[in-house]
Amino acid sequence: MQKINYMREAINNGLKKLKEKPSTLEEIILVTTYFTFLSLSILNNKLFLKELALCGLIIIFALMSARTKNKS
Amino acid sequence: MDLHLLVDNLSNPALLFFFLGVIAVQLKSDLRIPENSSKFISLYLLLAIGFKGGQELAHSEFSLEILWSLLFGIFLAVAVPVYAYFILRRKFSVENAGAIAASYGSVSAVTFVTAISFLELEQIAFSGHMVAVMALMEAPSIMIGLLLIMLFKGGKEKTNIPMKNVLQHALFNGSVLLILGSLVIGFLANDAQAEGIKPFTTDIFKGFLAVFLLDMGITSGKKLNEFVKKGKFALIFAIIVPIVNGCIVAFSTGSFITGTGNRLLFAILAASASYIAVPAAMKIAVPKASPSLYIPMALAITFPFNITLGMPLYLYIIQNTF
Repeated sequence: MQKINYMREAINNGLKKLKEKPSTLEEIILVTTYFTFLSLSILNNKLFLKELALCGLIIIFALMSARTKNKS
Repeated sequence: MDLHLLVDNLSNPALLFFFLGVIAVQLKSDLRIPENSSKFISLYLLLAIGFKGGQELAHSEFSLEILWSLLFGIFLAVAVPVYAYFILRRKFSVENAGAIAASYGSVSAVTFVTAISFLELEQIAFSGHMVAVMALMEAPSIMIGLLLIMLFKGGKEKTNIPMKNVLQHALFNGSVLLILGSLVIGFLANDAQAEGIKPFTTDIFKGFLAVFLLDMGITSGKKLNEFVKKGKFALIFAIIVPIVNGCIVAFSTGSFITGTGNRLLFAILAASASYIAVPAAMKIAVPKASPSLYIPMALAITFPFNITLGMPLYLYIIQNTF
């Protein structure tokens, strides 16, 4: 019972933290989506890998700019 | 990607109706939108969007940005099919590569309309001249696609393309003519009289869009099944090329296009693929190109990707760069 309560508290705390830092969740979604496409490319003889790398650079730039904006 | 943008987009009733259409096909339901109704709704959407664009244009001052936007639109419609063609030639015949390249260089009016609805939902402003940019991007890519086919199809098999018919189709096909005509009418109409048809052009727009996307969902669902059998290259191309085009345009337009709304519309125009105007033109010009390849790529893969993940992704890039 104590273990369940502890887990529930941990989940609640985690969710609260996520709500406080929505940018973290955005970043996770963005990176996961990108890596899904990247793995799709790698699994298929690296099809469009260079093009995807270029997109990756743009996304990284956007992520970094968003972080800088959030900090300031 | 801003989470609330993604949630807003995915919970948009119009988009949910699209998924209902796809699910209906998978469940083998007999749900159908009568062909005539579907045709009427697509004409209505083009009329409404053209008219609203004309009205916006009438209220905005002519600036250099309008000229830049038109030129950039034409540049995209020429550049995208050229680079796409050489990628596609790795796996496809000259005819199929040319037809698919033309499709990806041209634009999807429905994706554009959905993007406008998304911008309105997020209360992001955009300019009326973007409707003219969209209409202008339809024809050049068809011409480039055909030109590439003529250039690279050598020897005995040299194609005899009926250029007059193709030009007629590219420049005056129903959708291009209606949207440009509505744009001009919207531009010329005076405000008081335009107010009279506002309930028709604005108030019921989203309802009709929902029904149209339901129909698109049913069509996509049917095409998806046959397309899966065509191999992975086409599938990956149909997902990755729109992301590449959309991301690059979303990022690069910051230096010469002002306004988040206009930049998002450019990104979506670059990322979308035509599944109405181009197939109609290719059917006449290049009968050897397989419609079972280029229609499902644009309609069943690229279109759903753009309206679900694409739009929030491009907006995230626009809002966080330059």
